[in-house]
Amino acid sequence: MRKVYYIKQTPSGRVFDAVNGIVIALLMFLMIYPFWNMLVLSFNDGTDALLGKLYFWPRVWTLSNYEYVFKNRDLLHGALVSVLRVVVGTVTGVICNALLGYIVSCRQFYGRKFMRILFIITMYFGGGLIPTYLLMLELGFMNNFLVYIIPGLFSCYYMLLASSYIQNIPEALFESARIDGASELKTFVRIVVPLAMPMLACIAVYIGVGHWNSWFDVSLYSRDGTWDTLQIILYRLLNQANAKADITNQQQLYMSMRTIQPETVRAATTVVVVVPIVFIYPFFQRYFVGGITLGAVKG
Amino acid sequence: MNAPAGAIRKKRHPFLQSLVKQREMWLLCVPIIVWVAVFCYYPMYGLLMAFVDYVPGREIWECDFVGLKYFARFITGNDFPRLLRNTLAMSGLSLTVGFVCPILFAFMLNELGNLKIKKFVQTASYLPHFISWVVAGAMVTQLLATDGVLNDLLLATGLIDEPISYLQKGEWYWGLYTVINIWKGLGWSTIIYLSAMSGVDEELYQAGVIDGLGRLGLARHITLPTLVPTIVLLWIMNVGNILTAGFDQHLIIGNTITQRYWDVIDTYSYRYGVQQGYYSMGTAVSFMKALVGFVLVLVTNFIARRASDVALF
Amino acid sequence: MLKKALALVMALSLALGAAAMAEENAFGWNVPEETLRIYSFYNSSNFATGEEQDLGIENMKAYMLENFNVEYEIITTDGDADEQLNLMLASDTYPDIIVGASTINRQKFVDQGRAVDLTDYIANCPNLQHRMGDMLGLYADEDGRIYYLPTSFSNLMDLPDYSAHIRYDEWTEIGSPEINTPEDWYNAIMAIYELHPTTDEGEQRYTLGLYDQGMPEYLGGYWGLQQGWKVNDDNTLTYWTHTDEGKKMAAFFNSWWRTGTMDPDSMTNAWDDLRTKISQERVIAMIGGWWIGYNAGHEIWSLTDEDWYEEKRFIQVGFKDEDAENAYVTMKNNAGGSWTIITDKCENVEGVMQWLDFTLSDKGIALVNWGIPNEVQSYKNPDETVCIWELNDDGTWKFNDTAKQELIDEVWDYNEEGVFGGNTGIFKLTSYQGRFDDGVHCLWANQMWYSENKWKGIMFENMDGTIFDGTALLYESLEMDEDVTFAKTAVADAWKQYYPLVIMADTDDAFEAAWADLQMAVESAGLETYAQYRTENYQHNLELMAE
Repeated sequence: MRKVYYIKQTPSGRVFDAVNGIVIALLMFLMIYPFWNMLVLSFNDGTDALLGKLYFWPRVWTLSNYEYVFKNRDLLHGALVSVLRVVVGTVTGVICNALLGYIVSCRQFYGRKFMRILFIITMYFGGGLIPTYLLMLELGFMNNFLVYIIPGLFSCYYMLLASSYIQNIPEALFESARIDGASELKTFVRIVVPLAMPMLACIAVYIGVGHWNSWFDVSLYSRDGTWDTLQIILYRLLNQANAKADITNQQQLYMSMRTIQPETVRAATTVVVVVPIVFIYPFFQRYFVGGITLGAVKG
Repeated sequence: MNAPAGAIRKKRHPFLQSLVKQREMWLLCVPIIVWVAVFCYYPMYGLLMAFVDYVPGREIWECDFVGLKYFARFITGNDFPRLLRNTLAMSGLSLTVGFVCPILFAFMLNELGNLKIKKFVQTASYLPHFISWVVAGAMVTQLLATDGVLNDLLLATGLIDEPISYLQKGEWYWGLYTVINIWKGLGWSTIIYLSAMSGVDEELYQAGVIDGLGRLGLARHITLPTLVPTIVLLWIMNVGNILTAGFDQHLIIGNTITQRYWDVIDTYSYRYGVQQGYYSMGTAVSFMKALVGFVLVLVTNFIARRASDVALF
Repeated sequence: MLKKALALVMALSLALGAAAMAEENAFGWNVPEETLRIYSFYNSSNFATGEEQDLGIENMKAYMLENFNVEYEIITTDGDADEQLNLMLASDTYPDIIVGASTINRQKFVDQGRAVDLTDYIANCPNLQHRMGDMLGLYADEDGRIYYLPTSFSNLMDLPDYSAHIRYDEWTEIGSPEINTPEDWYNAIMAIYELHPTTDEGEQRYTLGLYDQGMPEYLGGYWGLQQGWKVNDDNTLTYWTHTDEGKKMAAFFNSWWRTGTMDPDSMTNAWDDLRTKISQERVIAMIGGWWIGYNAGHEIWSLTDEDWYEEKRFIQVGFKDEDAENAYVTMKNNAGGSWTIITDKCENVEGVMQWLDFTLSDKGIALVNWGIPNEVQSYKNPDETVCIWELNDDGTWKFNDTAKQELIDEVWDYNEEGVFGGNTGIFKLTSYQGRFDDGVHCLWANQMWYSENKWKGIMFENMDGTIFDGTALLYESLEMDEDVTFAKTAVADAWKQYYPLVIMADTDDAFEAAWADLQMAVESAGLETYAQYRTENYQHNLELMAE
């Protein structure tokens, strides 16, 4: 949707554009700089980085941090598992939540309020970690890829997002489909999905990134390591710094200080996690960025 | 035997009617209902932990029943008023300032003429989302340290005479928290609003221009109303989370000197409950939060339904 | 209780005295016919290993299987270990052995009958009895039965935990003055500050940097307090906030603060924050762990500073306030604070206990902590081999000379050490942290031969007289109930919030007011409950240990 709309440019409009530009530029600096700093650290030598004061450019250039990350034998396997998880999880998640969103916004459906409230309650009340863990065990989800997918199929939050968008689809379209004798599923696929694309793209991004970033469920349910994702492998690298918080024995603390990976390796792992997202994201972005700009200058 | 003339035929219950007429829909619902029963409702028995002296390794019903002991202890504790104050203050800021910013940013973004720049800015704006709180917090503490970059800058330009220990000023903590939260979540939250904005019908804009609306007018009378359902929806959902006001942020950016201002229900519950292995207390606290949140949602939803016709349900 | 336990153990020892002398390998271990399975959970949060350590662990497991017919399977966790243990307990999926459980979690196992009674097996464990000596009785319950063992016990009584620091080269520059009291240390630092108020780059230096809110519970030792408590003549305990000594310590740091030369973020620093400043040479002195001078100082400078010279390093200094009886800076708890349990899921308790006993022999400790003996393939240079200790076929052993020299010269590669498989510590079941009978060796490869390393020698000399046996004070023999646990957390919360304000007070009046606030805060947090527990615990321990 690359439509741009023309409006005559006014002086106040110009001023607004200028201010808008400045504010956004400032925001950009605040958003990008921390990540830039990560990049700088990741290319800097670890011991030197301990001296601090690294801002815009590495002081002692090295690739050893990335070497350390990529040398990890499990990294490739983890990356593959992560990709599989994101793809399967996103596709299933979007379809399920979109369908559910459709069900609860179908004006004629008697059960729609029931389904809605059924899910809204789950958004607030939950059993906690122990019952969930026991359930996963009972279902045989330990060391099983399905543990990433099935418990996450539906979410009240995405249901509500989807339904708020679908509600705006003109009723007339559904009427004519019904008159034509189309089944619900067909209506869903032919009418709802194409029209709700921007929201579905948005949900896809949220779900996808959620899957990419999650590590807690991996640490609980992928005990023998077969289903380790990229995130958990990198999390372990970052973890070495966390571990020391627990140790009270000073000698042990000292020894752990000696062997943790420096901040620069941690920076490198952050970069490795973010970069794939930054590259994939534009594919989804085009569904909801573009749209209409109210005050574009005549080309 | 025919029914007597003029007799009213007994109406079938609408639910049964719907089961037959809309059976495809209901069929689609069945697996969903099964899913939610297994994964959401079945584990809810864990909430009972709040009412007993739960010890892992023992079944819940084998533990001593204590009723509302943990609820009472938490609410009547010395720290509770302060915890509540901090939680509500920070949530309140998130629900107002923190809520409005992504919307404003979405509008600002929309006004950027060049599509390439627009996309770049939007992508860049959610980079902070990926930086963990540990890393982000470390950067903030370095920036705001008494001998940190910000003080150096301000001293150099002569704006202040002495460095300010920002991180030790409890009164400023709520502001700091809000700003940092906005920084981290801005780009991410804007995505929803952008996607809602792209659903605006072009013809509406054309009609608006013909009616003589300028840019501001178009934004106010056309774009904004389209966003209203999404805004109301998100706001009501956030209200339900009013008793959650951060966690990781406080552990990283907060310190013991500002603790009076950042200690919230969740951090307290973690220190006194989970960390000591007292699951019962942790469960009691989250149960209370859920209850309060849910009730608030019901109330706000009711109001929203009366005031406009947009609501959660 | 102690008497009962020892009696039981001795009786059983005599009864089972004549064990058949079976096939022993060079380590002195009877290799069993059937593979002995050691299936344990290593209770350490956020467990992570480097590449070298991963390789070392693999090597060690293979080595154990081949030479001892012992098969290790160890569960570790990336997240919170206590949480993982509780999940395993709730789902009944815990392994045979738990290593390093907290006291609260240990009690859950014991109370639910899931921990095996070890008393009879201990009778057959000569090394265990030898290393623990009288302490064994501390772990027995009223009936004299022992259900758990400490995961680490005993300590190196010449290795301090905490110390003050000063730079060696700067100290010699001002004439190497004697430092016997806190005031001496203060004066020495001020003298250095006058000579070098800024770094070479012209940045301002701080005379003192603190972290962890100034660690009053540990630093109070310099003024005669024992890890935050004053031990009164009648064996009751008073918390440091209500003692003169505590106030004196606070006054010392407060007056230092008022000179305006202390790091202004001292009260909010975490170690990482302070370390950067130290590495940038912006901090003249600090006080805290004994190793912080090394970690932030020469271990970095020797790598980054081209003009580094050996004397550019921090040394540890000990002192004692003139009114204090002793400088109880380092209080060692020899009885342990985390626990090893054998659970009801273990099928071969006898075998496991025999292995546990073996790991407490000299060669066992060497194996499990230093690592695999003799030549091991290097990680850095796969064509070469490295060695940390040598074992001969006849059972004699010694520490490798090259390794020893590298450790003394401080050029030992700690990352490379991972290939030996010992330094993660996950193969230990219980760990003896004291010196071997020969008085030289111990499980920490870098804490031996102090006399041969100039700097270790200085530390040894300076910190002598600050290290004490604090078992009676620190070991928790009485169970802590909910109210006490709550009070303990609340008291810690309280002083961490109010003590910084005391140190940062600007005037005498403000100091007095802040000190009063601190006392009030700690009292309303439940100090009385907590202090009563600690006093009772202390007196109970004295009784136990007197038997």
